[in-house]
Amino acid sequence: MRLNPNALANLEPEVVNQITSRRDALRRIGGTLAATAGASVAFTAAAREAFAQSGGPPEQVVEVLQFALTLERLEAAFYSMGLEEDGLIPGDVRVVFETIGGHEDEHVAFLEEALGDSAGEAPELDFTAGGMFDTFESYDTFLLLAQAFEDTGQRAYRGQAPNLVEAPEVLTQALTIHSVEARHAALVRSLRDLQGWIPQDQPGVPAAVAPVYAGMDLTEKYGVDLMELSGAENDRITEAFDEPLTMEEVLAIAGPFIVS
Amino acid sequence: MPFHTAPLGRRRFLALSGASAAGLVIAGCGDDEEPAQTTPAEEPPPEPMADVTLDFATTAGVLNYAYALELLEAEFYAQVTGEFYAEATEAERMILEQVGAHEQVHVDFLGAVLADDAAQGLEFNFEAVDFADRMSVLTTASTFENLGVGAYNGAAQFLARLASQGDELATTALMAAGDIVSVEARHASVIAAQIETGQDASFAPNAFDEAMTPQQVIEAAQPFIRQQIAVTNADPQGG
Repeated sequence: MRLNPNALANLEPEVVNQITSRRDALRRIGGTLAATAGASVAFTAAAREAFAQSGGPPEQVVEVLQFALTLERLEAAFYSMGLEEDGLIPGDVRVVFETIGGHEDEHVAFLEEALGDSAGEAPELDFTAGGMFDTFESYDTFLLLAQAFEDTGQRAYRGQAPNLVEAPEVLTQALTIHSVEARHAALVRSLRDLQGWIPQDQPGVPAAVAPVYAGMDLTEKYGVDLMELSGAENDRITEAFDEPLTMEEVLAIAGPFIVS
Repeated sequence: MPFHTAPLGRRRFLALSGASAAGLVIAGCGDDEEPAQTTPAEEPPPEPMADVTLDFATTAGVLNYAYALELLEAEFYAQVTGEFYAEATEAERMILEQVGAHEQVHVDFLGAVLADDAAQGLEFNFEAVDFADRMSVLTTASTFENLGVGAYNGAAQFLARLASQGDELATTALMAAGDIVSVEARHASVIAAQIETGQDASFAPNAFDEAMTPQQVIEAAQPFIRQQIAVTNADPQGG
């Protein structure tokens, strides 16, 4: 399902020109970015249309996208720096992190394009969190943080769904990123010899990372008591649903890595 | 308030046992067709009968769409785990058993939410799957999981529009679908890694997953479902 290609027709000519010229500029950069830019143009146009239709303030949607961009910039920088560190990532799994990092780069480009002037500057980051983690010296620490960032990213996008109900096109685009974060998370977890999904207990997760998994041990979902209804084990029930994190919860997790 | 007691609104989709329900909808036709005898010489071939029509203008219709796909997955994994292919490793068995259990939890959940509106009697057809063959099982699993991701991603906008019209059940359904879709994506990732040993990009082939239309999803799923499924009011707005 692509976004409405006719949405451009409903925009003011100067807006169309602005979007089109930005798209053309990006198209010159390369194939990957051009594909991203194509999606972004439709995204931006559809988002504008959605805002106009809902009559609601676009601030809420902009805030969601800025929040998403902060997380994506964090992830993109994390993989970029990890891949640059000689000897950190074993050769046979470099392709995994090149793939994930490439996706995060695309998410950043997409969100920056969608936000335009509202994208702001990339934050200054400290992946040691003030010396708490030997992130780029230990592959185990790097993997732990990769898992934490991906599981957080997935839960963060999910947590913003209620704020995008009035902008279904934006919601759809956010979901197409959300499930990719889940794919990343599952593979990184498997590299740590964990299941791809999230059980009740989190072995090998230090206290500093524990908030990533807060509130995921529920067996009652939306008023349905699955313990009573289903004969499944507790872990299977809690694994079957990925609960959201609020913006505040996510920023508390990401905060130690953001200097400014 | 128990979720399943929330009002479901008008029940516009049909139960699968068409004869016992309000009636059959003929795919692509209205229910006020001209009698054929008025133009006997030009009588068109009969339209294929839809056994069930999923109405995407209703929350129950969207939920039954998800329910049908989860039933399909749960039934598939039940057969897989009932008699594993011979070379299944311990890791593969664990993965397939856990994934199957998750799908059954999804079935149980959606069934409870839909209550009396849950589609009944769906039957599946896995003739195309060789359950004794590892690659046949894993590639089918991969197909179903990726289909689930695309289906939930694409269905969200229908629930969002219903939710923004004040349908509280749609709001809850949208949130639950959001909790489920990422689990389907985790499944897809892990199963891809079993096929390709995790050392390539197949676990996440694109930076953006698909949001599939109901028509695309049903077309892909139909060969595995014995009943004929139709969708209505399923065009994405402006799409």
